Amino acid sequence: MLFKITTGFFVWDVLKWLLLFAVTSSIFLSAVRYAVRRGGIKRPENRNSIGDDSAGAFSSDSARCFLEVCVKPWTDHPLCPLFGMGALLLFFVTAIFLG
Amino acid sequence: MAVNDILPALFNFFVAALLIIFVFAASHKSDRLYMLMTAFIMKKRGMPVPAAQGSGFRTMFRSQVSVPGCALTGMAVCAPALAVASLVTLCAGLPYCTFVPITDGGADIIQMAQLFLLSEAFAVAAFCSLGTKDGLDHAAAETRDVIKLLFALTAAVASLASFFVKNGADRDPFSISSFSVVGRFSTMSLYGITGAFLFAFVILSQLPGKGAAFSESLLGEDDLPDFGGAPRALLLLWSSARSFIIISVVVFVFFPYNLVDNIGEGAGFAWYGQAINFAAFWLAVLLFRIAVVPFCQLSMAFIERKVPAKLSAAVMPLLVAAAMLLLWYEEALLIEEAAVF
Repeated sequence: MLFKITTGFFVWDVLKWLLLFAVTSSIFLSAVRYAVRRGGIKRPENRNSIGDDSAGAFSSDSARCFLEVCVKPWTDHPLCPLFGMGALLLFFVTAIFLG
Repeated sequence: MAVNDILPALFNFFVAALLIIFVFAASHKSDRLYMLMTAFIMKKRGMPVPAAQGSGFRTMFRSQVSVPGCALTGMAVCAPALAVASLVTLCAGLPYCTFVPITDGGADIIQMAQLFLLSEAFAVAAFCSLGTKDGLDHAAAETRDVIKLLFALTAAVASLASFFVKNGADRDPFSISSFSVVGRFSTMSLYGITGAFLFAFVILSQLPGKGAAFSESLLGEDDLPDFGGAPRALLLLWSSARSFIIISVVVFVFFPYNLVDNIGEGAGFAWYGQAINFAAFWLAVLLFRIAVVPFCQLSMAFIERKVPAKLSAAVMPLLVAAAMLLLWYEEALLIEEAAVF
């Protein structure tokens, strides 16, 4: 079945979940819509909007920094494929011991 | 679905809706109670009382909706509602929130973590869509806190599941009903029990929020002043409900069901035992929220202050590693015992 995810132990009825999510989100969204209709939306002018110089913690700079500091040394390492195989082996052994 | 099944299904939905409303209301009220208690204690000690979320949920919900001028209005207004809705679907899978789980038969803890992440994604999207530097910083802090919590939670679940499999569990090791460890404490040595309690300590100390100093709220009174009204109220409700649900999962793992069931059997009525179970469980969650979580958070802050500054970030991973090693050692003891037998 497309809408049922079944493993050895566990059955997840995705259709029911989707229905429940749709019903609850429509309830909360209508509550918010009611609040917006009643009072309107106030939009104060930007006091500290994102400028070029202050880009916040999710800026592309920090993403690049993360890649350069944490990911690049691993991918540049000559033994990188070996590490990858080792990690896969570790996952495999864990899966065997758990299953 | 046959016609005969519709009425029971509707009844299940009705009971689940009542219980989920109860969980959300209890989470909000317990947060308020904790804030009042802390304010009272701080006042008694002559300490300055920080500005609380002065207005309650209802007042905040009724105030005018406001978002910063540069915000993506639709996303900033709708995403908190979707975050709360995802949390409701998470509750619908938990046995103690619905009596009869209405979305699946097993309440899988991995699925719970996925739904938890979905609701987090909506909350982070709400912060990001504000378009201000403060909003992005809040989103980054929230993401960091959640990753820390999920790290501890995943390590705890994997270690306990592995131990249960070795201990002869013949059902889904990741199902939440497999995680009730109290009945297994009698077969565990001190190492395993310490490991389980250490995991509970780390998870409770890593609950996202402003910390134990005053409130568990996601946002202080002074944070994001341009973001107000119904979306902010929903986001605060989501934050307290999320912490409450994580606490309830930890309490579920350690709750002595056998003891309470025996009290009910003594009275001779099945419903009597169930009613006591229900009341005792939710009172325990409330007690954890008010007393145990602040204790864990303050203890963790104390430990982090006492170790050298360079190592303070490593305290949580080291405690998680210690708890995992204790449970693995317990597993090794179990295997050795089985081999001797």
